[in-house]
Amino acid sequence: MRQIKTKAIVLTRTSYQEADRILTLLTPDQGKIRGLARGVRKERSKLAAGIELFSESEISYIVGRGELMTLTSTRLIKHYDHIVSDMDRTMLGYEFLKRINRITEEGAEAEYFELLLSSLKALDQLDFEIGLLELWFNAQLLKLGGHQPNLTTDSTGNKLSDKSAYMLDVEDMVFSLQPEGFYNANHIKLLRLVFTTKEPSPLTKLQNIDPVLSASQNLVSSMLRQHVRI
Amino acid sequence: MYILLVEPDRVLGQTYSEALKKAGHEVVWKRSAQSALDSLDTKLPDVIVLELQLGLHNGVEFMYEMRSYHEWQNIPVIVHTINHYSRSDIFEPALKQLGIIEVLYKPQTSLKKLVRAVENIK
Repeated sequence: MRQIKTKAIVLTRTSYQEADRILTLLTPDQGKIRGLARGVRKERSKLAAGIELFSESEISYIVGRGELMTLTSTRLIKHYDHIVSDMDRTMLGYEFLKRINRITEEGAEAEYFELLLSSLKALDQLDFEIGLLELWFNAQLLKLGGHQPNLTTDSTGNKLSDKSAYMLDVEDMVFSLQPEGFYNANHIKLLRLVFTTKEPSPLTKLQNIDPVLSASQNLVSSMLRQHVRI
Repeated sequence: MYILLVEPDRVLGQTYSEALKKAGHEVVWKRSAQSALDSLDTKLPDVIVLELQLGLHNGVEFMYEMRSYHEWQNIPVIVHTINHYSRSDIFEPALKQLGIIEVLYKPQTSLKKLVRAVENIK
């Protein structure tokens, strides 16, 4: 039997028999795995502390014959405990876990682990605007799935202008020039930023984004529904 | 009915507990998410009345944790809370998914209304 040691973030926990838990874990190098943690419902279990939600842990597990691994040890690296001090952050944290779980398969790339870890770290900072973080998270999910809007040229191939108004064709992910269009240069600048910034921290420098944030969130949510089905 | 009341505030907990008992129900009152989970291990309630704003582990964590156990997935929950949420777009679908029967906002909920909400579950 092979033993593997790696980092992991818990995506889901479900009960199994009286004292065991089945965990879905996202790792940077082993993709998404399902592991059996024995006896974690008992208060003194050595495994229990390392399988907290909103945490980064180090885990060791044995690869068996089936798809279910057996966890042998867990060590908590960091619990992002500020998340649960705020109800909106807690809800968004669960949404992040759910979306990543829905979108990833067994062989999930390291980028998904990095995206989730960065998002939990940012969510843990109580001064980080959560609407902006959710926008960045959703944009990065789209990007990892290979879906990115054209933020350079419009549907006729002309460069997107600072002075024009546009609508977005969600299916083709391209803006088209329309005098009554809802989106302008400010929306496009914000979208460029959330799609290209690999870490959310630069977003904290943005100011006065409220007028464009909500419409940008709706736009990215529509793209997610259309292309990633979440 | 056997009611698990999860309420961190001493005065409010006592008040709600007495009102529910007076209406003829059996009430077990817990002040934290962990003690509420421990209580579920002892006896299954007919309904849980839950404040979301708890110390250490909040009510949303309690709900996700509770629903992750097969035997606790169908217990009806009434949220009775002081909180107002800015992100109702996330909050409302998630509450529905977690099987929350009703959300009562404390400042707008009389004791009568709380008792009625509990009894509507029968």
